[in-house]
Amino acid sequence: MLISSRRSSPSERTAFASGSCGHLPAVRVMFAAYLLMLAAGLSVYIAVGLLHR
Amino acid sequence: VKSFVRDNGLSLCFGGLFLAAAAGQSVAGHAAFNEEQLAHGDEPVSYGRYLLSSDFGQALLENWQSEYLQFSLFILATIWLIQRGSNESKAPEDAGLESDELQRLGPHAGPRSPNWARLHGGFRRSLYSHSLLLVMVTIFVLSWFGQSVTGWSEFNDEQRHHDQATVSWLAYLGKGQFWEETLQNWQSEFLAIGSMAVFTIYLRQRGSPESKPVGAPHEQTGSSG
Repeated sequence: MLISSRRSSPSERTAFASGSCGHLPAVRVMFAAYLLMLAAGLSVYIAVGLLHR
Repeated sequence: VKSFVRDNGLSLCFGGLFLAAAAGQSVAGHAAFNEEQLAHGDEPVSYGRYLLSSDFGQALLENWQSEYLQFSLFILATIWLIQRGSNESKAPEDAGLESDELQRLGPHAGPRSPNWARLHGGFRRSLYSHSLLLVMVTIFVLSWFGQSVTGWSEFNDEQRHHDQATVSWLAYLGKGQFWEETLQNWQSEFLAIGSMAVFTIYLRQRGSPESKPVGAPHEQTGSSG
């Protein structure tokens, strides 16, 4: 599915949860990197538009 | 490093593609901008100056806003709207916000559920329950606002160039130019989402969660492969 989450069985959920918890810090890095990229782009160009008018 | 790349392949790939495409856009945009400058008898600008220009900012943000609008609307619409047979749709009986049990909230939360999902009601649980849509809509609103102010600054530059009066931001929001630049992006996003929802009824891509399994019946709604 493009956005809506895939429904998995309870056993799949447990397996995913236990398998993924060791890598969560790395996943957090990706989450933060995307948020930072967006925040940087938005703040720079909103400022450019407002200052260059 | 190997496991980091494997575990984050999708976001690394698209983050890299984004940076490469934005870099390409900036180089091509810089060349096009300077051609225009020379054609008008103006001085060319440096690459660094072009990166901090409203011309580049507007080109970047008008595409951002339409993408985030597309995903925001899709997240919202798929709560209630169904497309029978589509991989992008829930089953008709699941339409709506669903029960606390299905959403694993409060007493139905598991030991590894996020803390705010375990709460028995309240503002923080509601906030977390809609956090994806809230963040996507916020990015859409900010990038659309960014498109409007960079477009406004560009528009007034043109006006000054032609010895015409500059306009206020609100007046710019009523201009055909702003709405043409907005709607030309929206129409393509809506078409892409609609066609994706319909195509996944009958078409398949083996191995992709964006498709039903190859052998799934056409009438099967909303189960990824």
